[in-house]
Amino acid sequence: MATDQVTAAFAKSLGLPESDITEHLAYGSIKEWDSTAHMVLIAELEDVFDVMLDTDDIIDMSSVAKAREILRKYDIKC
Amino acid sequence: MNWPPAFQRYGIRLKPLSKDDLERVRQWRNSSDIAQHMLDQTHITHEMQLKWFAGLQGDQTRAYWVAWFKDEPIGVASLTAIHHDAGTVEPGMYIYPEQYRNNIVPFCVAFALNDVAFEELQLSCLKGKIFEDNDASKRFHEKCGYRYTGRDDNLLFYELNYDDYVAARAPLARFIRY
Repeated sequence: MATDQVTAAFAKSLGLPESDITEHLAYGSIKEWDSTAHMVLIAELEDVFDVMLDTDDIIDMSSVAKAREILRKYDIKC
Repeated sequence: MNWPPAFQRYGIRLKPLSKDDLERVRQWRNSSDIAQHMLDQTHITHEMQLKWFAGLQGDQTRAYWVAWFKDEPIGVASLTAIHHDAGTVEPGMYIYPEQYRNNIVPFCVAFALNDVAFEELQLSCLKGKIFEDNDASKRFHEKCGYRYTGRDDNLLFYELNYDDYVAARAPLARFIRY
């Protein structure tokens, strides 16, 4: 299920339990979300959803909710 | 070669630091967000900044640029302790706008700076000094291919050679699609 895949990708990339991944989890709000984790997250999302994101979308991916919004632009149901 | 050379790659423009940049850079450098990660945390006055900038002129052991992204100045990149004969240098950088600090943009700036060091200046070894408690910087350096070489008290030392850099850059640079 795509919704779970987004949550799982964030949990894996940020090294957090899935229970900590909420829609409001945002860039800059936790120390785990640093530049390295951000790129691990992007690689994970591209791999899971078989998508190639624009660099501006990579930069704009600033929360879980925003990630879903961006992925939907690529016709991904999540 | 003009010193320091202007450079553009990965969506980043490195413009040599000019007198017109000084006040903005001083404000960035004195902000707590930036200063807390600096080895020297002295508050920089306007006079100190002018004296420092005057000392940079003609000094080919140090180079400072303002990094621009999307026509916006976003931070400072530097190469200091340049030893042209030994091939060693200490890179440094910071990014001021919060929205660019923790994503792909720092890698773009670092790669541009590394390319200047390795390709334009033909240096062979980049040296990093990181506070032991700066986990984000440690992870960033290791992701860029740096290897830990030792420590002195709470300061950790890292080094990067060209082959390790190229190998580490490839999986990240594929996301830079400008």
